[in-house]
Amino acid sequence: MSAKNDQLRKIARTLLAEGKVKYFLGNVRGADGFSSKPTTARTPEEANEFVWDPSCVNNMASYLHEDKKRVLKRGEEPDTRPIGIFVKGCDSRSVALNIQEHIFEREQIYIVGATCEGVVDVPKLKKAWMKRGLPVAATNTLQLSINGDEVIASFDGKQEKFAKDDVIMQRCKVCRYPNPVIYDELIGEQVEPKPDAYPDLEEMEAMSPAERWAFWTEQFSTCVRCLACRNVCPACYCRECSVQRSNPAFGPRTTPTEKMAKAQFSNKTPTMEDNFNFHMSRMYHMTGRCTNCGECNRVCPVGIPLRLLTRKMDKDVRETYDHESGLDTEPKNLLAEYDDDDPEGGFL
Amino acid sequence: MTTYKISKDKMNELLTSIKGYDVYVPTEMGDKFQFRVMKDAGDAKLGYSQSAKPPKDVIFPQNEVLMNYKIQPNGFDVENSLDHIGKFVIFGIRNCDARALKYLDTQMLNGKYVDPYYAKRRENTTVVGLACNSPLYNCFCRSVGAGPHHKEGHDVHLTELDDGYLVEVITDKGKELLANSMSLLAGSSDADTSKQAELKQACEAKFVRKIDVKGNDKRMLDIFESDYWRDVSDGCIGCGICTLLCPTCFCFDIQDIGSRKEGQRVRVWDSCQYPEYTMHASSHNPRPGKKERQRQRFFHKYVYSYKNNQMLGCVGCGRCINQCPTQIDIIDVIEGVKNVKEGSE
Repeated sequence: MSAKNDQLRKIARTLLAEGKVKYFLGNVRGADGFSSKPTTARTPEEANEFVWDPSCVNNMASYLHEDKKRVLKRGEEPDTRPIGIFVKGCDSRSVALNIQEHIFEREQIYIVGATCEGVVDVPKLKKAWMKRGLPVAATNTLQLSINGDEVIASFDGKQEKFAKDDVIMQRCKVCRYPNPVIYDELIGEQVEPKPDAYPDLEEMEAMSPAERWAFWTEQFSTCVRCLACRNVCPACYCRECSVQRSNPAFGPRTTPTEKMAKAQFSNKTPTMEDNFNFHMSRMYHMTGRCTNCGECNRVCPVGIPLRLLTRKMDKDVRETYDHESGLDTEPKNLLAEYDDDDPEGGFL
Repeated sequence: MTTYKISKDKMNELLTSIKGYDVYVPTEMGDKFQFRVMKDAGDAKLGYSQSAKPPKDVIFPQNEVLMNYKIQPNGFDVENSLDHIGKFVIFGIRNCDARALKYLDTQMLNGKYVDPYYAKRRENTTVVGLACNSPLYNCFCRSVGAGPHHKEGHDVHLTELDDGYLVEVITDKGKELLANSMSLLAGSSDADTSKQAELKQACEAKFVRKIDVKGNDKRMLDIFESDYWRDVSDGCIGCGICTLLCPTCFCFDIQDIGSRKEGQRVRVWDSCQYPEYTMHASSHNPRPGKKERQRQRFFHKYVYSYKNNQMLGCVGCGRCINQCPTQIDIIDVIEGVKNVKEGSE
């Protein structure tokens, strides 16, 4: 078992045994052997199952919000101890964003950070695995690690090497924050960040508006509106979402006041119009807040390249306002801040 | 049942010769496959593995306009969309998905209330099945009553051989579909049939994962309140991918969309994974968390469906495992029930 695994397990075990955290969010090995599965450890024994290897794609910061949404039982005292969480470099920015926006205070989260050389794109790895005709059953003992430009899979005492560029997530190839920006404890050596560039956007930016329209029309036509992109997003934490309401549809007797109180930007129907509406509303809400963890892109069951949008937004916000979110815990928000010396007298 | 053979290069001609139907074929989209209406026979990728979305939406569309209404000075106009339903072919459906249509029939066509929209679309749809020769890692159809070469629910069944396709016409609907294309079909030989049997055997040997459902329903009811369900749903983000991409899920919601003067009544898919699904008018929610909602999914598929229809609500396509963003694995969960040390033994 790798040293990184041991380190993570030891930290989590100690925290839980000493009662310093109420629970610890981390990854365990998934049933198919390739992937890892997000889980909540409530006892030191459960923490013994944790893994930290290149299969840990999940951004655990998404699970923080559940603590806020849980309704206490009658007579139940709230547990005020911090939540333990395992983060990679990209995830740490999501946690920092939540602290910036006062969803959590810094002392409410105990952050165990890990420096990261990239995580694998599990479907791609599986495909490569099958292509080479490697034994499927062997995945029960599979261990992954990254060494330079290679992803090494060891199983049954054997080793199989894959080119890193072929099997890691696209998002890791342009990652500028492989090292956690905030943490209480750190695992691993500092990793060199990738250069500041947007090669992944070139193709889209070269399209004419008409081509771009056609491209996104085709992409959004397959959206099933499962809302996984929203649910997995660590920056989406509203208790009730404006695109998913349980209130009855408007009838002829619905008054304007009622309509205002129940604003619904897009209907439940996955038509082209509503799909555009939903995705664009989401992007607007993310402007200057998205930390580009790339989870929305990963979870999409029909493969909509949402990351093209978030990356473009990131690029525009940086070029226009020189702003990047989730880099520290100081309250800073691109679109919710007002400065008295603002040259544009403004709306206040 | 009559058996024919068609060479591979004539397949596109066969597809083009189907007239008067919307032909849904597996097409490539990015690195996934989707069933879409065929515009050009070359789009059809019959060597596909599995479509991202099951083709159940041909018969039970995610977004189905039930009627259009318009208020007039003296009354109102209602246009029922039932009158405009065309004819469809699902070409190249896998047995898991075809079997799911049979399951949907038990829900939509059985008993006192028959769903007229579903019934009409079902009636107008011809199902052309395609035997599966290379199952995916998470496929387990053989454990739940379906199979890669089963012909249940197919009107025409195709099997890909080295030099062509074996075409088995099973029902009258299938006969009607191929009436114009008989000149493309040739007779089949015994060698083809034995090759088919060989492929079947070879495919069945490729299955990796399986599930043993015997007696599980009783065991699951025993541990209904167990923390086991909390533990298995820990990673759930409540997105509903598992239900929206499930070929047997059939829950829907009805929405009125429009203005005061005119609009539509639309049926859209819903999912038991959303909190709104069970929300009462009083704000009480009997399934308040992901534990209760995930548990409902497993119970509906493996306990209630079996009890009510003697048919599991799962066809083993593995989509909910392949596509779950957080690796919740239905095989693991159902198999794991046996190891839970609580409840009455």
